[in-house]
Amino acid sequence: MTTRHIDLAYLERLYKGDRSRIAQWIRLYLEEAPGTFKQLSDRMAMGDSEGLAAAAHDLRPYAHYLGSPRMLELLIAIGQRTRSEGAASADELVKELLALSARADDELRTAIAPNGPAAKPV
Amino acid sequence: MIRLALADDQALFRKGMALLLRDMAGAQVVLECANGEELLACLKSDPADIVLLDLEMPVMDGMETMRRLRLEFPAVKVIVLSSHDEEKFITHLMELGANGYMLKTAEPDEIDTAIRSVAENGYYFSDVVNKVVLHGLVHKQKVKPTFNDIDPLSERELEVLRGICQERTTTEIAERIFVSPRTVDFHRNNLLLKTGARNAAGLVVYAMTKGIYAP
Repeated sequence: MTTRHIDLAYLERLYKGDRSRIAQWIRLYLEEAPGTFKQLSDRMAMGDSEGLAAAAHDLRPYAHYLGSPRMLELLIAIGQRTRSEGAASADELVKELLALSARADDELRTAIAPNGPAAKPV
Repeated sequence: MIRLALADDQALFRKGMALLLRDMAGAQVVLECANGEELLACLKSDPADIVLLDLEMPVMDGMETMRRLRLEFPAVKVIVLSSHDEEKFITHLMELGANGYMLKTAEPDEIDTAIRSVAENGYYFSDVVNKVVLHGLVHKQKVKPTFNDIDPLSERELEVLRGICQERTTTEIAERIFVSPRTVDFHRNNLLLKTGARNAAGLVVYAMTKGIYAP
């Protein structure tokens, strides 16, 4: 189940291929993740380096779950850059992360659509 | 039935974990809490056997929660489930009496293994903990055992300690060294007293740092 920006292989292993639970996790993610990414974006706007680094750290497990190595790279880079050079220095990285997150969300919505890969019965 | 409590401020992680554990044979999630304070309050009315504890939480973080759990609910076992793999966190939490420490990115099967191991043997050491302990050993140059270090423990206690390190149950240890399970418990209590460890996890750390056992 590989798509362009995400790979649901970890979720497949996590829920032992149970499509219903994979779809439930994806729905939960689509409910919760926008708030967490907004928090990250707000910290960036406030110039809150510690808050931005902490928000990026909190999101790391989800990049792993979504099978998005680029998202994980960006989150690690944001944390490192922010702590060494301040929040403003991570501006481009945050923009790329938010764009990637939006594309990942689209792919997740497709995955749980009635004919999507995560909606198929086991 | 193993009663599990989840304490994590991230609803997605908490609910996702509950979803995963829903079908775990012989286990049931009885509590889901968003911080340590909530967990401690809920445990009074809804007892749990094992807590899966996050470190970074508002109101009361995982470290303070760990301290309070050991004081107020000493029988409750704790597996720290964190995204921090730094040595300082792992060492500190194990010193506080955690029974296991895992990363949130652990492979799914490992979560099941950890819960069962902590329920049956009192501890679970993931690869990340093993690496940290071994790294600490190398840096403190404590790998080479000396008889003076081991002297305080009797031969029987050492046998029981090795059995604990090999994840054997009390009954299994008793059968191997031809004594009763009660005698094994007696030696286990002596080991805790002599080493100052808080639980089986602490005994394994002791055994590894003294060169009595290598994973």
